[in-house]
Amino acid sequence: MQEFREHKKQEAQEARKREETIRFGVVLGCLLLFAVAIIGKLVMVQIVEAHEYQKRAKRQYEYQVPLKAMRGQILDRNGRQLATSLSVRSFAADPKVVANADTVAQTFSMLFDKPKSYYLAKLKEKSRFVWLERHVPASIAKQISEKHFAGVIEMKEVSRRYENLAEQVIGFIDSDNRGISGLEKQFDSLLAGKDGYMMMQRTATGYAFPAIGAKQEEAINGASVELTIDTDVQAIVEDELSKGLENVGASAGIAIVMDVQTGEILAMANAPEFDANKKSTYTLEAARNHAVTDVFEPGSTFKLVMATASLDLGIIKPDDKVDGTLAGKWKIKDRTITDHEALGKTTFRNAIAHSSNIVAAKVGLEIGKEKFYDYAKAFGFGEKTGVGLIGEVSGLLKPTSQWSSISLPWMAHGYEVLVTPIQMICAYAALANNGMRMKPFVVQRIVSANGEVLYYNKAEAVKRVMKKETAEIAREIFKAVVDSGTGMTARIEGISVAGKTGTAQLLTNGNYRSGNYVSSFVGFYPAQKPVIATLVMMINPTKGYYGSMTAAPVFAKINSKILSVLEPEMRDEILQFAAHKESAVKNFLDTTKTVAVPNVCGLSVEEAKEILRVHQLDFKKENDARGVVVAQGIAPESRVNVWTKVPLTIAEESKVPSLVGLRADRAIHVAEQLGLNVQVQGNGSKVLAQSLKAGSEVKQDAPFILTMSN
Amino acid sequence: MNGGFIIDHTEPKPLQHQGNSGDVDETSVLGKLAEGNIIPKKTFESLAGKLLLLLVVLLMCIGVLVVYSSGAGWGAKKFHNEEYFLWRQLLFVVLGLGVIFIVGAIDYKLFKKFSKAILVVSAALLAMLLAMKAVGAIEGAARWIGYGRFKFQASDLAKYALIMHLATMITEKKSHIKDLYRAYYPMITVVFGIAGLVALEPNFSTAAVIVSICFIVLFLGGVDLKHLALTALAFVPVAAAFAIAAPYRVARLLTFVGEGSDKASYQIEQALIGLGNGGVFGLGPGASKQRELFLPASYNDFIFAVLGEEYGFIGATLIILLFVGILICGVLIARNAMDDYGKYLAYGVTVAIGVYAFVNAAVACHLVPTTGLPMPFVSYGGSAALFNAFGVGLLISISREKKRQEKKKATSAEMNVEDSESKSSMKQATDS
Repeated sequence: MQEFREHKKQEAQEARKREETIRFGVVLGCLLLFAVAIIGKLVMVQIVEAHEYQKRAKRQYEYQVPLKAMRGQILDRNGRQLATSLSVRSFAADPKVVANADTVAQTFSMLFDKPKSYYLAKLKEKSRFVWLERHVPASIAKQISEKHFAGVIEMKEVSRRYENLAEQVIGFIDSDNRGISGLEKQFDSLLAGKDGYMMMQRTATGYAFPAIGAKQEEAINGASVELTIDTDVQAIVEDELSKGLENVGASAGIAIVMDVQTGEILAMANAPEFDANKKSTYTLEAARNHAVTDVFEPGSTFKLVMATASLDLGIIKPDDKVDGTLAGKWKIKDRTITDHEALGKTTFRNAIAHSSNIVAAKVGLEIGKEKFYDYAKAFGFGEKTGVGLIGEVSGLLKPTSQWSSISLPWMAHGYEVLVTPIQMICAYAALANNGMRMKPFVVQRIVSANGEVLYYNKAEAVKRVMKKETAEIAREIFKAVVDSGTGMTARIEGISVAGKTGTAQLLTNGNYRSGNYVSSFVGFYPAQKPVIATLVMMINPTKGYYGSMTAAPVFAKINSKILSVLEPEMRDEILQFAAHKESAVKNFLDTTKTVAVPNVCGLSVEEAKEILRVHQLDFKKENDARGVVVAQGIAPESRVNVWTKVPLTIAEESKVPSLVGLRADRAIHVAEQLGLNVQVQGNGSKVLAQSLKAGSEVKQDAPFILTMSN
Repeated sequence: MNGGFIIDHTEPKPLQHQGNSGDVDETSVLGKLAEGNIIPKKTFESLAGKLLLLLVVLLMCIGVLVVYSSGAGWGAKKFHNEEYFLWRQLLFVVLGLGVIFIVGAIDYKLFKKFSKAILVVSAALLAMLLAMKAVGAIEGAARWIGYGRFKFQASDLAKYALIMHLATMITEKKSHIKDLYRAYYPMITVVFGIAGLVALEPNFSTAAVIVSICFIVLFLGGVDLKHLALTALAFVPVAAAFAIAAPYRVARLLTFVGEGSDKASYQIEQALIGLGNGGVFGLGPGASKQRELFLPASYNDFIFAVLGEEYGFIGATLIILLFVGILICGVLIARNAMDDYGKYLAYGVTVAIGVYAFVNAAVACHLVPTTGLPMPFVSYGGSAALFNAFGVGLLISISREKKRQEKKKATSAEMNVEDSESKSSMKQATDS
């Protein structure tokens, strides 16, 4: 029994031990299973699905930063910059990474004077990229970058800088670097280049650095567009056109200078001008290139067709007698044609020289409508010249089927036809070029960033309008206009000029509103062997309206001045016909070459140096400082001899410069570069006064009031 | 009283499981020994302790490395010191090693005497926290006790107090362990009492894990399976109610089943991205990209993700295997413990460390719902580091018990021979 009890006890003991071992096994097994499950899951995550997670990781660590392609330059025929790109700073944010949106918004709100909520709203956007501020002045950019805000991205952006020459031709870009007018729009895809990108790696704290070994694509900078325009000529033309516009009180002016032998446009100006660097200053009207987009009834300048056609057809000779009537009036089909001065019986040459409408009408009728139409067509009227500028219109030359019984006489003296300024100058250039009409062009070449020529234009003859002999005879007649007729105010000392004045009533909304005129002069020189043709057109002049009084004097001023800046070969060609007594002028022109001084205020010393060098100018520092140029000893756009030393006054980085007299945008730029808190009073374009004394120490963020002219 | 019995045991038996009753058939035990043990137990047993220490030190080193790596950015951001977490974690490791050696040298049976007192104190501390929270002295979760730099998590203390006392209770109730009223109710009351207080902190996940650990210990202790199963069943609605009471718990659970909103799953998603991006070989030491902004608490609850990211599948698996090693060393120590108290204490500590480690890893790789448990020895944190060191110290102490007894015996034998020598010997024994 005892043994049995012992045995039982032993059995119970054994059972308990067994149970314990089983339980131990179960627990250990479960825990080991747990470990195995974890390792199994790790196999799934880290090996089987690793690729998927790696992709997701990459998405969250890496992001593309666009490498902005530098927009191509627009250069003049000598490689001088008309439009260039400068890099500026802009700020964006990745709202997901921005740690302290409140502080960021507060800082930006303080610096840019916008409500904090404006930035907070941006920082709450779902996007991973929002612009905070673009094109920030360097001094302010520094203040932001110093704070090292996580998630705030500082970006170099490119801003366009224009020389403000031929701005209607060149056009401008919007804030996204897209061309929105002129050549900037027309060649946008070529100028823009191709943005590249760089993969940036984001650390978890929001700092970014270039991803090592990641794919990246270099930006391909934009192609540069080389124009036929000569900066110096353009500057003179713009200057004289503006002055002329003011003198005659016209609402707008157009001037074109063209190489008659090649069709190259040396200058194309529209007045009034606008500041292409300041988007707010332009109106759609001012930005338009009227030279190609607008049509006018030309008036007397269109007598070119009648004169050359009649000569070419042998209907008349310069010395043939024509009847301009003693009364200066001639009735045809119940309509009266009037001459400004009654010529009576006179030579055909004299009739043209004095712009007889009656003779023009009569000769026109003799030519007949079919022939007249053919010549007008041959001159290129009624169709686009193909100058290669956007917005060009074809004007209007009605087919003969639509002509009324008085169309021919009226067209003969320049009505019932709509002509663009570029068509008119091309027509005269055809006469100048011995009857061969050349295709005009403004863009010489487009050269890609790696030097490949993508596009080029060369002299291209379009059509022979008249026989060479006819052209020579006709030029004599048009020379008489300047020598003794209505175009005497277009004379250039020592050089024989041929041309024609024109005065037409301005057709507004289909009506001839009395008192609104379009006055023009289009001519070329030397008459013996023409090189240059120039058109000047004044729209709605209020102080006198005859072409002889408004446009011709501007023609004379422009052309006597551009002689000094033309390329030597061209100048030589012109001057070989210069009268002997003008040899002094010739000598002077031979020995000097002048250039227009660019505006370098607001640029760094290095930038200013470079731009002056391109313009064949030297410089001297007026003081020894390292800031920005605040004044230049020679006013912008004035003409000086090549390699003249332009004195530059450079701002001490810590001293307030004198900004009085500076252009508004440059002055603001200079002040902002120095870290002053600029406030502007008035909305004029020149600085009249400044609130801080020149030479005083710059205190960061000190309010600085610039009073502008009105 | 059982432990005392063993000490009184004169036979120097290497393996002694059944210390609860005097009437052990010694021959059968000896027979078993003769059969199953090719390797002398003596060597292996002490090896388990040494191996355990080695594994723990290894994990601590890895911990310092990964904490430094994952905490550098946060340290720089929060404390303007990249090495903030490095030095602090190093300090904890040094202190932890000290604790291991001190506790390892102390006779673990000492804790049996005080286990009730310790448990009462920890319960009191938990209650005090809750009271302070109730009167508004503490805002948010009431988890930390102490002042200034000297703070510890009340739940860490409670966890070990519970394990120690549970071992005491199981040992004491060994003879009637399957009795519902005399054994089960008292034990389960203690467990739920403490876990309830922890849950109210609120620290629901810790409470749940503590309950799980206790259940495993009770299961190992021989509690009636029926009781455990029924309790677990009854516990389901309680747990569910508790889980649903807080929106973040629901969100975590929903995330786990793949229904959650993006925000709730953000941590998990980032942890997985980290692990996946690490691939097989990892990104290399210090190369984690997830740690700073994408993965919150990367140096703590989600350290395993950073580890897997920097050291890859190989590193992550190695960590799991290290813990498996610790688990095996722990259960070997438990199985070879000289008394029941030592055994259940060793089970408890081992299971606690293992469960914490595995749950932490499982959370990081989305095997279980998110819980805020640190990984023992690896995660940053002084409180957990020191309490886990205490646990390891207990295991070491338990593994040394036999040696201790042998020494004692030898000492007493020597004492008989020569009185003068015994003192130095004794000193040696306590030193070692």
